[in-house]
Amino acid sequence: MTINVTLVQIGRILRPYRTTIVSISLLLLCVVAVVVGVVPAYKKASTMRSNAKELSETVMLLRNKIDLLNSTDEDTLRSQVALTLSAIPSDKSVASLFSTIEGVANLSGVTLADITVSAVGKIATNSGVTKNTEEIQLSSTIMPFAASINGTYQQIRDFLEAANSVRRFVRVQAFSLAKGEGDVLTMSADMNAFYTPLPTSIGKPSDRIEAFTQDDQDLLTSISSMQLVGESGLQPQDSEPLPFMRDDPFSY
Amino acid sequence: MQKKGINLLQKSKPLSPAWGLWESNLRKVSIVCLIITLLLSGSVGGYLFILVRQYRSLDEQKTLLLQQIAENGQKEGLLTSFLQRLNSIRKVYATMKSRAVVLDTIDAIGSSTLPTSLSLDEGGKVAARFTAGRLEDAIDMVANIMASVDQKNIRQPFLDSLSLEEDGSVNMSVSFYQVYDH
Repeated sequence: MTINVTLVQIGRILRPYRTTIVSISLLLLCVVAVVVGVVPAYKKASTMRSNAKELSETVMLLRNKIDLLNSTDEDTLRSQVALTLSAIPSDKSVASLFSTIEGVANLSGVTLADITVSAVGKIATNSGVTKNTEEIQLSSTIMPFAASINGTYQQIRDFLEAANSVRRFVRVQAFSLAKGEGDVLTMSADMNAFYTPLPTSIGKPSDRIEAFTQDDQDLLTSISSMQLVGESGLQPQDSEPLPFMRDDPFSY
Repeated sequence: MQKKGINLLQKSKPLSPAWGLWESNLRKVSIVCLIITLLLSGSVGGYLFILVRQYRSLDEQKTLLLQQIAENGQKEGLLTSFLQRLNSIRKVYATMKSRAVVLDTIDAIGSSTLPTSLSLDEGGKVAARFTAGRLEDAIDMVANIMASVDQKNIRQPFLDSLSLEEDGSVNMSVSFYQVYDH
């Protein structure tokens, strides 16, 4: 009964302020709703929007990648890779280097007196080799070698011309010419050959692949027009299986 | 007995006119705030719902595309390998120079006279030694060197040595840097 009396007294006191209490309660409810509900929801929506934008860009990238892969014929790709391997093989391929220089000598009419590869190193693996600045810039490993050639001035000139226009790529860094007997000259040349190991991973599926451009096509045309002398430089039987794939994508 | 209504907003007798005015304004403000809050909640909630649906749709598309890419792993590997190698080839090809032009330049300098020695060092400097039968031939060679400079075939020519022998022949050593058109 005491409680009932207290409640009745409280009711009598609050009755004149009933409308005010309801209005203030509504205002408080609105403030709480905005602070607890609307603001966090807006923040979540902002985050969701930026995530959706990123995801949209990723989907676009993946779609372009799929379109590129679908528009590319696998057999054409294999032949294009073979063409690039004939220019710069995937390993030192000393045999193809010797046969290339021999082929160039035959083309130009010089006599190949000597050829020395200065740093054959490990033939099996390249993992321990540190690349120098030029190799990093070229994205290729340089294999220096020396060649000694006998021939007339014109024949040696033809040799230097042919060396720059055959597959496999070789480069004359320095040479010295000395007179021999009669018209015969002896040239000692310091030359470079190149090789680029096959990649061991293809990156993540979401990584971008650049499309084949006209410049790429022009370069391929230039390479294919260069004479192939000696061995092609392909080593399909020596391809190492890639650890990340069930099937080796680089196998021929 | 006075009927008690359930309408919370039921008008009751104000304590004073000023208080009544304040109560009325407060009621209006609270109703406006309630309406604004409801509108805000509805629009933010609706926007969030649309974004969540969009995100889920994109996620499904991504999963499908990744699956398609995984199925084309062989082709992707070939394409990646090809493009990487092409990039290396482009860089190497740009550094390759036909050294035959050095011999062409020496031919142009010496005319009918072949050098007794010729060398090209790793820095690109060409050094040649000629033996001219007569002083006039040596002068012609120097003129040919200057002509090559004018034609922008060579740069920085130096006459390293010149000696006149008793028999009238001239030994001369020249050096220069060849200009290459790749």
